[in-house]
Amino acid sequence: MLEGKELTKRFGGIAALSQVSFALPEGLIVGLIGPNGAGKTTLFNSIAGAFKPSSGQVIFKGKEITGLSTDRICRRGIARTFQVTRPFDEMTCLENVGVAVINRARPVSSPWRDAAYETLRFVGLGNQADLEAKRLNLIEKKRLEMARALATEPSLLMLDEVLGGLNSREIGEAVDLIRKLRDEWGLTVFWIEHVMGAIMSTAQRIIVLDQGKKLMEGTPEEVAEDRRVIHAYLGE
Amino acid sequence: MSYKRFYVILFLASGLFCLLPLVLDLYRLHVVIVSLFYVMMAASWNLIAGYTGQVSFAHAAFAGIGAYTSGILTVKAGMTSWLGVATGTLTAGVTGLGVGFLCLRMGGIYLSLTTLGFSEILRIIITNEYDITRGTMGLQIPPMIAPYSKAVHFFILLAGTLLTLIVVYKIIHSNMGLNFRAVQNDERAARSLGVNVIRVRVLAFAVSSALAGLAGAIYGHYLMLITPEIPSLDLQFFVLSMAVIGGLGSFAGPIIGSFALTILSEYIRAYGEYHVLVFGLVALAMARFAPQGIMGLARQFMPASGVRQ
Repeated sequence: MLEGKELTKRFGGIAALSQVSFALPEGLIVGLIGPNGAGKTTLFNSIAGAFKPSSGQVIFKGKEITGLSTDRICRRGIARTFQVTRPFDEMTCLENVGVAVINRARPVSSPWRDAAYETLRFVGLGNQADLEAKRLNLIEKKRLEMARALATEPSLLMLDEVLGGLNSREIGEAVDLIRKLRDEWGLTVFWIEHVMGAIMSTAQRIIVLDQGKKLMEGTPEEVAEDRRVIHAYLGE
Repeated sequence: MSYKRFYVILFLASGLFCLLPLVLDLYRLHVVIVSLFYVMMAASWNLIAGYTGQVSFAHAAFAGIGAYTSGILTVKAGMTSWLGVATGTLTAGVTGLGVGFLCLRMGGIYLSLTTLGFSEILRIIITNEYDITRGTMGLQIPPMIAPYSKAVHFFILLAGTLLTLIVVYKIIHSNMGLNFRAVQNDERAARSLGVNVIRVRVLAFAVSSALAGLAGAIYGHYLMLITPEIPSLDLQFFVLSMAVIGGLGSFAGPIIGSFALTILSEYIRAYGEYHVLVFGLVALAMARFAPQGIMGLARQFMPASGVRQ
């Protein structure tokens, strides 16, 4: 589905990402973990086209997408959420999602309002449709971010710490939603998360980054038992 | 505001305007005509500055392109004024597309600087190509409809204003308008949702430039004398003040701003060039204390009256 080949991203002299290779199988939830500054968001940005990797390739559905513009990558079927939510503040929730609907690769035949409203209802924001996005609380903003990403009709969804700041009940709801996306929508999910319990119990595979390099990859059980991972998080 | 309500208000207002030639003397009618020209300018500038956040200083320059294209074609090539205006509008639009394509990748302050440069280059060319443009002496051109009548030209400018307002309204309420606002709110998020930001900006810029060309061309034929004052920075800043004072990013703002400032400038005409200074200061004060302009103040003090658009 998505393949990274020796991805490297340098900022000045510092390699935020060096020689990272991975492959995401279709229809799975794959977790991306690692200590702060490990390069997780940098990897997301390199895939989504926020910036061009210094070297290496990104291959999506068999075609190279390295260095394409963000909007084109989105239309190929990769959607993402941001670690710090970026709603269009002055627009209503419905309009926020509408932007994603009207820019789909496959144009909608029905009015965008209908499709946008459906997506808002799916994430539980049906009642807030006409509210300006700046009036939402943190959890609602995260849901809106999710709704916008889904409304682009992706086949790969990249989530950047969607659980941060949520309480345990809200985490449960969010995890159920993500599972539903995999099981009912057939989405592949690539997911950065610091809430370990949630990602370990949900993801089928985990990739661990540390200091810009891929430390290991495996099932959650393998990762949890690996000494290198424990060291990366806790130190010697 | 629903479509229906917009058209009802628009046509009621223009119906009232149609009575003006009966009650106003020629001088006052002239002031209204000048106001209409500025409504066309400020409303179309608002489309890029207010709705996509791109501050262009070349809007007066595009009006100049429209005016001079139409003027030169009617005088030197014997074209009818109507065809001249259409060609002028088109030329401004195509030039806008070109300039937009070249400098909208930069965005922000760079766009402002590039358009400022473009605007000055154009003014210098027009001033110096004396054989074609008659420089600062001005080029005498025929009216839209001969024999000349102020009332007839009032109706033509009114029609132009209606056209401009309808185009702007339709765009901001279309999918394109939704993209405009997304780009202005958060460019990066817009990109991540599949919005082709460059294309959105270039399109807005081209449409807005074409509308400025239309305004300049009709206005030129009304004045029957076009000078480098049309593509001047004075006019540019006048338009900017109107949009900012009226309320950037609101539909009615530039309309209110244009009438207010044109009429006001007639009263303080005696102070000569100082009126530009006064407008500059007022615009600055508004930008600092009431960034939403008159429309923003109206919304603040009359929240229940539905003054939203």
